[in-house]
This record gives sequence, C-alpha cells and structure tokens, in this order.
Amino acid sequence: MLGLIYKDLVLVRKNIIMGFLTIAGVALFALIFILGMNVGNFQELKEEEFIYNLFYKGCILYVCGAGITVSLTSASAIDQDHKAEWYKVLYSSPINIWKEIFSRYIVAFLVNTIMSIFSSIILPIIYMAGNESYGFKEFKTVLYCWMAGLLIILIRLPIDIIFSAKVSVVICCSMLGVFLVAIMAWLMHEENIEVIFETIKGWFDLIYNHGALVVIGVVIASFSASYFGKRNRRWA
Amino acid sequence: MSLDYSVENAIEIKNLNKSYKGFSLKDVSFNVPSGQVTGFIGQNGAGKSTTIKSILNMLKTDGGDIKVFGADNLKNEFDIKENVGVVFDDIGFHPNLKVKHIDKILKGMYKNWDSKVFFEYLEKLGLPTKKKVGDYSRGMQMKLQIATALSHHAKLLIMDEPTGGLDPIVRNEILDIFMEFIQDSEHTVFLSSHIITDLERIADNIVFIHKGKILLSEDKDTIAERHGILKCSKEQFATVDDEDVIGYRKSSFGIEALVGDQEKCKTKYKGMLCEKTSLEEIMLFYVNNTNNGEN
Repeated sequence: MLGLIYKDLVLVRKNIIMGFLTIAGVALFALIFILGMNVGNFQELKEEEFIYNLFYKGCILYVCGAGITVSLTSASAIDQDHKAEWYKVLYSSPINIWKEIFSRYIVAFLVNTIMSIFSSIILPIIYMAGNESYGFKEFKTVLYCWMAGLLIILIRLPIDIIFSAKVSVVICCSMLGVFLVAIMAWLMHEENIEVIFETIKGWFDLIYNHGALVVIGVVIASFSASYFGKRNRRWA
Repeated sequence: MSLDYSVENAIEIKNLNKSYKGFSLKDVSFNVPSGQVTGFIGQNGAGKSTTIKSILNMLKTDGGDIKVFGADNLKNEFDIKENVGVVFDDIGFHPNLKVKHIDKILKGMYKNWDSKVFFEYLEKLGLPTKKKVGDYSRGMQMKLQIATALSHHAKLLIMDEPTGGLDPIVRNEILDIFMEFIQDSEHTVFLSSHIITDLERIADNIVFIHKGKILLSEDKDTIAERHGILKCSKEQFATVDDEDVIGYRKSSFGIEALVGDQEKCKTKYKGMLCEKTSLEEIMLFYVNNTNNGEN
C-alpha cells in the first residue's frame, strides 16, 4: 500500500510543482496588472470595468480552481502509469486492486488539498492588491473549489477504473463542465450558492433543450478519448 | 491451505479452458516440475501468454484447475504471488521512474522485498541507477524486470517471452541468470519463448502448445531421444504405417518424416535412414501436421 502511494506521489510530483509555479505565476501577473492599473494611462483602462473584472476575477478564478486542475492532471499522470503496462506489475504482485484504487484516492486528495492551501495563501495578496477586503466569504471560494475537486475525484476515479476510457472521459468532461460553469457563475455574480444550483439546473435544461448539441459533444469527446487508446483491462 | 514447496510439481494445470473471439485454450493440462526449468514453446498466438495470465489470475478463465505449490491459484492468490517472480515481454513500470523509485514502490508491495539483493542485481547486470526506465534500452528493461523478479526471494519464476527481441549477447546473459537461479534446486523456472535455441540450452522440460492445445509435455531429453527423422523415397514412404508418422515433408531427395518412436522405426524400417533431430524441427513438423490436418 505504501509502495503504491509512493509511486503515485512520484508520478504526480511534477504536476504539483507545475501547479505551484502556475498559481504563483498567475498571482504575479494579477499583481502586475492590478498595480499597473494605478499608474499612467492605465487609469483609463481601469474605468473599463469589464476588462478589469475579466483579468482580476479571471486570476482569482484560476487561483481558486487550480486545485481541481492540478488534481485532474495528476490523475492523468497516474492513468499514464496504467498505459505503461503497470497493470502487469500490479496483477502479478501480492497487491489487492482495491488498495491501488484507495492509494489513488489518497494521492488525489493530497494534491487537491495542497493546492487549495496554496491558493488560500496566495488569494489574499490579489485581493489586497485590488484594494478589496478578504474575509471568510472570499475564503469560501477556495473551500468550494476544494470541495468540488474532492467531488470530482470521488466520482472520477471509480468511473475511470470501472468504465472504458471513452465513457470515463465523457462523464468526467460533463462533470468538469458543470463545476466550472457553476464556479465561474458564482464568482461573477454576488448571489452566491444559489447561482451554482441555478447554473447546474441551467446545464440540465441545456441538455434537455439541446439534445442534438449534447450528442455532438459526446461524439467529439468519444473520438478525443479514443486517441488515448483502449485501456488494458483485467477480465478481458 | 498454505503453500508446500516440497511438492513434486510447482505448477499443476488441469483442463484449463479460456475462449476469446477467434481463439480458445482447449483442456490445457500440464505440470511444471519443481527445481527445474520448463520451457513453454509455441508460435505467436498459440496461447502461451493466455496460459501464463491464467496462472497469475490476470484473466478470468472459463474452467479448469490451477495449483501453484499445491495450492489453488485463486484461493491463495496473494500468498502465491508473494513467492512468484514474474517477467513479461513489456516492462510494466512508468518510463519516468528510476530504479530508486522502483525499489521503494516494490518494498511497499512485497513482504520479502530485499533492497540489498535488488541493487546487487542491478550492479551485476550493469544497469545504470541514475537513468529513467524510459531511457533504458530493451535489453536493459528486460534485465531490470528480471532483477525485480529475483529480489523478493521468489521460489518460482514465471516469464513470458523474456528473451524476445533481444540480441544474442544479452539473451545469453539473461539465460545465465536463470541457470544460476535454479542451481540450488529450490527454485523453479517456467518460461515461454518462441526462440527454441534458448530453451534447448536451459530447459529440462518442454511444454509445446499449438492453437490452444498442448501437443507435447515431456522431459526435453526424452523428446529429443524419442523423436526422429525418417528419410526415405516416395515408394518407401508408401510402406510406412500412418500411426508411426507425426508429420512429413517432401524434399529433393524424397520424403522426410517425423516419427514419434525413433528406436521402433529403426528396427521396423531397416532400409530407411532414421536420424535424431532438433527441437525446432520437431516443433515445425507438429505445427505443419496440425495445419495440414485442418486444411
């Protein structure tokens, strides 16, 4: 079991480092952007609220959602391990398959949590630079993203293991879409959690009202998934 | 039931069946004697990998009994795997891993993992420890797999085409390691290959599979002594009993026929030449005979 956790951590270490660097980079960009707004001709640009909000809230959104992004790229790194015939090592060793699944959960949870902690450290700096107060309400953004990340991980891994790569990608992309739209909506509006439910409801309405569009989306997702090839499976 | 290392056969397979679309293992039965090297030969797609995966419970079989060290391979799966070293034709480790990572991963997976032995093997096999697995050559990757299979004090080595695609020098090195492994007669090796010269060199027993059926399962020397090539003219061949012939081919000199009882044929067909033959020739005759029989 420890061996498996170690393996997954080794595989995702670069994703974690890249996650840290990206969050720090985005924060730096936000600082330069916001501080630049206060000098020279940029003052005029600040009056263009739409552009200001786009960059400012976009950076906040990215920093908050980085946990999810890094968790998903980490999960892909672990998946790559299976494409590397890892299953042959696993199934020929005295390791129970459920331990492998459990270790993936632990590592995905760790990555999501580490990234969210880092995000919650970086986020106040952006708010402070933007002369906005940072309180529990703002912290909740990271918290919701962390929870969304956990939910995605919780549902994604079994889907990934049980279903074929194509089905897994379709389900996961849909879920990711729901969460990203919900988070974005929540960040862009002030109505908080209600917006998330409205957005999810809107998403389902969209599926209901635009069935053909969804079918096209599913087909495109299936084809893109087939690029990654059929996963080697036990009980073939 | 615990494992019994003193059993006569390290592996016993009875009536193993497994069907895929277009291929099936049909009542496969054979034994792998303890303390010996057993070679598993057959063409590509004959059923070697399916049989090996069935032994390791990597496939759901359609029926049959498999015992490893006297214990059922399904009921005692984890005990068995603790004592089995496995080598496949492809390395299973992620290309980004280094040997230090593999050591730590496997230390957490096998109770008896021995890092000291592992690094000794790496040194002995000349494997660089700083490189990533993905940067290893195929020969190096196979050597790494063998080092990992030997580093948890396994009693049985099961290998699927361990020497496939390797140059003769590396193959030779690897075969030497297997020979060394079975020196104390406490260890057993079961390896599949379609490189028959390798098996002629190291195997004590041969199991020959063709199109999912076991055609031969015997001591290598007995196979070599028993079989022979009967060389004769077409007219002489017409007098040979069908039951004595396993397969035949026409040559510029007449007919060459594989016979299952060399001594008997030498006495029975005195005017004809009956010679010893190689394992490769025997396999070719069996395969051609089966193919012709189906055509």
